[in-house]
Amino acid sequence: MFEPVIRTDRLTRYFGKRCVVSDLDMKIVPGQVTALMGLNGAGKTTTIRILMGLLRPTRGRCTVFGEDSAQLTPETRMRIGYLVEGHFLYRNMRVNQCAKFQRSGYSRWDDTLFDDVVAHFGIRPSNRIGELSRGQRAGVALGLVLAPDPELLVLDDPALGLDPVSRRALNETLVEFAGQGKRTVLLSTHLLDDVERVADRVMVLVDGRLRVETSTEDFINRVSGFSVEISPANVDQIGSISGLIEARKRGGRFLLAIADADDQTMAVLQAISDSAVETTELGFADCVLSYLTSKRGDQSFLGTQKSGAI
Amino acid sequence: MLRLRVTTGGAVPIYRQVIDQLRQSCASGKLSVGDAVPSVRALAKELLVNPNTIAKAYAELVRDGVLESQRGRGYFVAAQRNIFSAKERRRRLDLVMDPFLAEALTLGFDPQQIRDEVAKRLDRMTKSKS
Amino acid sequence: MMTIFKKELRDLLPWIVVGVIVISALCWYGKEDSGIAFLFTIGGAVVAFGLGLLQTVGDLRTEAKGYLLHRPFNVSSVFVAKLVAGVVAYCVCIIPPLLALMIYRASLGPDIRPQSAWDVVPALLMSLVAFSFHPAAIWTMCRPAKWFGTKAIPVAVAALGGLRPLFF
Repeated sequence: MFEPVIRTDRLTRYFGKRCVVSDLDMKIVPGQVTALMGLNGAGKTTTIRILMGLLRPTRGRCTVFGEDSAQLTPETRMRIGYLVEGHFLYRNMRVNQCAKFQRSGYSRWDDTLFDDVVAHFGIRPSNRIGELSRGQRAGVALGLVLAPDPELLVLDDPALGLDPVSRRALNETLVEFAGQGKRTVLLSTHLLDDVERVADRVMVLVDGRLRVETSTEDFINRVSGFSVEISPANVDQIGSISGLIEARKRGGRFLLAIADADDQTMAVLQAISDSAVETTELGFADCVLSYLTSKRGDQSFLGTQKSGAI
Repeated sequence: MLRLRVTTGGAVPIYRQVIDQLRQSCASGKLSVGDAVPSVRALAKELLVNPNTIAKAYAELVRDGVLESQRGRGYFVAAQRNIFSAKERRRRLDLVMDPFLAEALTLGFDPQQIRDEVAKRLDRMTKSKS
Repeated sequence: MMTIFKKELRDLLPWIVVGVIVISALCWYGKEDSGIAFLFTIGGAVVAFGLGLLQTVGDLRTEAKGYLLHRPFNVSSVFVAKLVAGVVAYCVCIIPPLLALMIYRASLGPDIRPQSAWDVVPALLMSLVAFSFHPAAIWTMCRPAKWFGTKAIPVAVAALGGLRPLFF
């Protein structure tokens, strides 16, 4: 079929005794926009840092363009555009100095593209980084990452702290950039709306484990919602429903999100339900949220460890 | 001028919204046979969504005979052809009719009112088209 | 690589001034002494260590590290660029004050005080040896070790190598 741009093999990382990334197996499909989602501390940034060779995994390995992340050659790095979390840039530089500083070593560098992106965010080349707003700094950082015309773009929370105008500019730039289908994008984010608009594929990390890795379309189709009335005596049985992602109590009924529900699931639901089982429509955001809340003890009622992974 | 809108966070996927709105524009006469629709990239940029999503919506519209693609020139509204079998058309009509009628009845309209309303709308739609 | 070197040097500029002042003060303090090699080894080590520290401290944050290291260079070339910038900055700190001291001593001549301008040479050489604290500082800061003791191994090595002639 295709050769994945990024592939990880049982990637694991501990910080002290805390396991931040656990047995991660993933493949990034070329030419697609993949969104990496998860709560704060779910291991998104750690995963990205390992992929970029900035952090050693405790166990497992990963390759980018077929090359071990820990030993990326300058030639391979040239093919990767990496936007670090928080749009870090040197504050004492001017925008044009940033470009000059960044371009060294790259065989391709598109000045026009950089100027366009920067202008799109309303920045002048003579501006000093320290004087820019967060959103403008994001624009400069994005321009620097795009100008070498990378085949793979790795963006660590590009929308973090952006105002609505900059966020729109960011999405416009992303849609424009990803448009040709030649480029692969991996972005981590919290913004469900943006993911729904921009992403082809979605991955959900929960507590360092990959719970979802599929296309956005497939994701919506495979997660279904049910509203069921369950008497207290039968509540324990909720946990035994196969594919259960999340169960929450709303009034007298339980709202269940279930992966790959089939006739058998329906039969189980009918059996434990006191009244007719209703199906509820789940949108993309609902599906992601069901996974994210499933691990939050305070909000979810029940969650399953093993089942419910796509 | 054709204007589409997509919303996120709802239960309807974006590509489905695009399909529905383009179908509706064709049915209501906002778009007539032979009209060009925006290119995949242009629409993706305008709506701020992934171009692959638009491409998928267009592909489905082409498959259903709403649009036709002319190589190198883009997508155009196709002349209405019945590409579905009689049975399939029947099934598709049922698919939209049932929820519509159910909703209308639960809202407390009586059958005659519903019939009148449908006739009135149908009139308006076909008139604006011709 | 040249760009990183230039950037590092530009960032060090204000600190070079501080270094020159420190070394000049030492020159002033030891202007009548003939055995000043020890003084300059310690002073040089402090300046070298300080420069190394300043060059790494800002790049330790994960974002800064990612930004600096993800470019079409090997990590070693980034290190070399920093090291060379450190050498240049260090020489600017050390050589002019010591040269001034030499000129001062030569101008007095052995007639006024029993000293020769060449007495400064050991101090100069020793301060060059003391530069080993600069890479040691960078290395120490970048080591992933958690415990202070194991983290500071490069500094210990530099101390053994750089300061040994003083004691043995």
